[in-house]
Amino acid sequence: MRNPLRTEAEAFSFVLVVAVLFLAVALASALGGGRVALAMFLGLLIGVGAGIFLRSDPKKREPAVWERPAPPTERTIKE
Amino acid sequence: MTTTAHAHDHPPAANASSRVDARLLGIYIFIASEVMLFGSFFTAYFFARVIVAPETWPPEPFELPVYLALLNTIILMTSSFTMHWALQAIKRGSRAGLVAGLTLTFLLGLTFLLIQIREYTRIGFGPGDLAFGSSFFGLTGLHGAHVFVGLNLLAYALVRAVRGHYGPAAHDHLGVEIPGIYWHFVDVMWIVVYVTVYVL
Repeated sequence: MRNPLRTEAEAFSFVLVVAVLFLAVALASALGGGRVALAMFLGLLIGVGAGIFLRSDPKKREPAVWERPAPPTERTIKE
Repeated sequence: MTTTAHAHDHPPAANASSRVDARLLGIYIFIASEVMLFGSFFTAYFFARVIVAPETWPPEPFELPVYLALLNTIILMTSSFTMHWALQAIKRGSRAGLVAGLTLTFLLGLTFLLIQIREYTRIGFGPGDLAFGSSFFGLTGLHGAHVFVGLNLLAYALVRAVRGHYGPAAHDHLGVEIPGIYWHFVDVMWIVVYVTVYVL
């Protein structure tokens, strides 16, 4: 599962996505009641989750701080 | 083909077997544990609301200040924007932008907390008033505690930013990136709490 809080930029995007989703749920609740809101929530959860999973391309991710600095005593031998 | 040789005058660096930076891994695991903690509080809330199912929710005569909490939501969401702005500024090498963004984020977070405290004093019920009261104060109080922790992280990062400890390279502003990730997590949790408790 992809980590939505991998970097600060991705966490910020996650905030915006969650805000939009829950705004939709709140509107559904105001217009149709609790059951409609629950159905909207479940539908969005499954839909957005499936969309993120299917469209996720690891090669296009913003690089996080993956690389740890090499110790000063490490040297590379090229053969 | 390359081969890496290591000197043998000391053991290898500890806690460096993962590709993920240890400090980032720490905040990921911490946030995961806090999500589980919030999950337990939400479980209690939904048990009181759905399983026990009083006739009305909130139970008579309690009322929730929905619009005051909406103002708080706007304040906290704005603080996420200023936090993101601070990170983007330091990535461009702007120390002034970083300091300004962190200061605004801190002030907005502090405003949120003060409004929450004022709301507690004027809301008209307490944690001992039925399961509604205890679940409400439990959820919002837990979130408030997380905001307080976040303010401490921001204050520490702000002091270091003023002293010029951060730079544009990824390794040089990890001390801002990690509080940023935590702050966005706090914002996400408030959105969930607000919609679940106040709106639905």
